[in-house]
Amino acid sequence: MSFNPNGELSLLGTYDRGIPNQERIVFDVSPQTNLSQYIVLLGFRDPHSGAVFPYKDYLFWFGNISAEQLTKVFLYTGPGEFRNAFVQNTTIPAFVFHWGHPQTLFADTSVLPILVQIGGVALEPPPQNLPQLLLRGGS
Amino acid sequence: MVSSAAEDAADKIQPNESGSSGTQQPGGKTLEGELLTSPLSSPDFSNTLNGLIAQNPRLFGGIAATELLHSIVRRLETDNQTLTKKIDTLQDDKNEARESLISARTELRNERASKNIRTICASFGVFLITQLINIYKYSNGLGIAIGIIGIGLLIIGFSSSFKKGEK
Repeated sequence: MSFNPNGELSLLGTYDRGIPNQERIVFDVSPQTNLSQYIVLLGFRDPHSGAVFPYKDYLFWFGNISAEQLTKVFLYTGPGEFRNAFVQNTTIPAFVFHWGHPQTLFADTSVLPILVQIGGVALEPPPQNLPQLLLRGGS
Repeated sequence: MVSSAAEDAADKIQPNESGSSGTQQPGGKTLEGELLTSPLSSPDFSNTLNGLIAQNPRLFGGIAATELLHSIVRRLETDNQTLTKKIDTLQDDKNEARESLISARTELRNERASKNIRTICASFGVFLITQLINIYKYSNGLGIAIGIIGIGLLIIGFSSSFKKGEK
């Protein structure tokens, strides 16, 4: 499913579902884009209505990294280290990310990744440290 | 939505080095976790077409052609939903049938093993009883013991046959 048909990063699919250390989500980059504007969530597709309900506690952010056109982006669900690699047996560049989950996520075919393009980001201003001595009342 | 053909073709899409630590374990059949109560829906083709037609009713060469195309798309989407449900039902039926088959095969295997044991017991029991008179001539005690064992084996050998007959 391509969540945003006009996006620069599109969801190609989930492969090797339920297989430890091989389970991965694959994305296509076209044209060049910065991956920092995308996050990945997990959702559950209700088999009857087809509606997709996002899970509360699953989120992956790629970080501030720029990807050239035609790059494939691999997101393995297990732990590992980032690799700047190639698609196997090709010269197509590939970025390999790892979500870091100790167990596989997609054994159930109703579970699916959701690609979200961030529309904006807001951060609260840095809070002031509260002097801890003032809180020690009576001592 | 990625078609299954496209998924098949892309099955081997993987990097030349994965960087995986190799420590991931298989998860459960279902993913544990709390779901949000509001569904997130991606715009389906029919809705997209609705939007385009609303902007330009003559989009596909005229109002009639546009309406015709729209009705075809709606029909196809309805068929798609119906068929998806049917596939799910058939998949469930298939899983149930597979479980029943496995159960029946296990039962059959056990029954065969049990039948072999019963046949051996009955044969050996008959053999012991036929030798009973000769053994009894030499030793009364041994003859009685052999007789009891022989009868015991015969009972074991035929008991499940009776049970089968009862069934």
